[in-house]
Amino acid sequence: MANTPYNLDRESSSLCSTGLRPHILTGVILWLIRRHFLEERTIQHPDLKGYIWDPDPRVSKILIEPVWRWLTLRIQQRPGVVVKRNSLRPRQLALGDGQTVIGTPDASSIPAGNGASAAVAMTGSHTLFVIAGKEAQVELLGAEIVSRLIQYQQAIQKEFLFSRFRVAEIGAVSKLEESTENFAIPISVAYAYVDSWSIWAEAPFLKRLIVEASPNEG
Amino acid sequence: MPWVVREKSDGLLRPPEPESPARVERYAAQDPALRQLQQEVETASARELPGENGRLVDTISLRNFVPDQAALEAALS
Repeated sequence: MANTPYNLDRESSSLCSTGLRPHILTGVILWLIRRHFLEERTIQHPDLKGYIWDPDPRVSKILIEPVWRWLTLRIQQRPGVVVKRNSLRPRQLALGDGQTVIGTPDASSIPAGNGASAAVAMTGSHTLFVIAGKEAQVELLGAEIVSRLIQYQQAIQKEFLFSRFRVAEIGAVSKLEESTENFAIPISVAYAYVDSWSIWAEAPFLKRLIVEASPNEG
Repeated sequence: MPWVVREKSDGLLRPPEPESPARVERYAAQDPALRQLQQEVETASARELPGENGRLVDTISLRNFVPDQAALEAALS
C-alpha cells in the first residue's frame, strides 16, 4: 500500500508552524497577485485580459516580482508589479508581553520560563509598485489590483492568520526614477498579526555561584 | 460659433474657415504686441502641457519610497 500523506487537520495551515516571517509575508502578497493574473477569467478589466502571468519570465506578459529581483531592462517592454516590504514594528500588548491578556494564568503565578505564553503584536506594511509604460495603463492595472485586494481583504485576513489586513493608501501616478520610460503607482497594504510563544526552562540559568580567592593574590 | 457666412455661389450657410497659421503669422508680423503675446503663449504651453514624458507628475523611487505612516496607522486602527 502506498504511503499517501494525509492532512488530518484540514483547518490548520502551514503558517501555524512557520508564522508570518518577513519573507513569508512577501510571499503571501506575491502569491495573491500572481494568482490573480494567472488566468484570464479572474482578471476583471477587459483591457487587461492579455496580461497573463507565467513563472517563466520569457513567456509571462506581466512581471510580478519582489523588489530585489527587479531589473529595469526586464520591465521595459511590459507592465509589472514590484513588491517591497516596509518596516515591521513590534508592539507590546501589555506588561509582560501579554502574558496576562491572552487567557493564560497570571504571569505572577508562573515562574519565569515555565511555559508561560507570551505574545507581541507585529504591525507592518508592504508596498506594491504597479509599473507600466503609459499613465492610463498603470491606472488600469493599479485599479484592478486595489479592487481585488479590497474585495478579498476579509478572506485574506482569515486565510493568512492576520489580525488585520487593509489597503492603506493608493498613491498618485508618478514617474519612476529608476527608469526613463515608466510610470508607477504605489499601493500600500497595512497588516497586523500576533506572534505568540512560550518558553520552558530546561536548566536553571544560575546553578551555583563560586566565589574563591586565589592564593597568588593578595 | 456665433456667426455664419453666406456663400455667394450656392447660398448655403457655413461656419467661417479657421484662420490659417500663415495668416496669423502675417498679422503677428504687422503687430509687435500680438507677436510677443503669441510667443508667450507658445512658451507657456510647451512648459505646462502634460505629454508622454509626464512633465506634470512627480517622480517616485523604489529605493527611497516610504509609505505614509498616518495612512498605515489609520488602516490598522
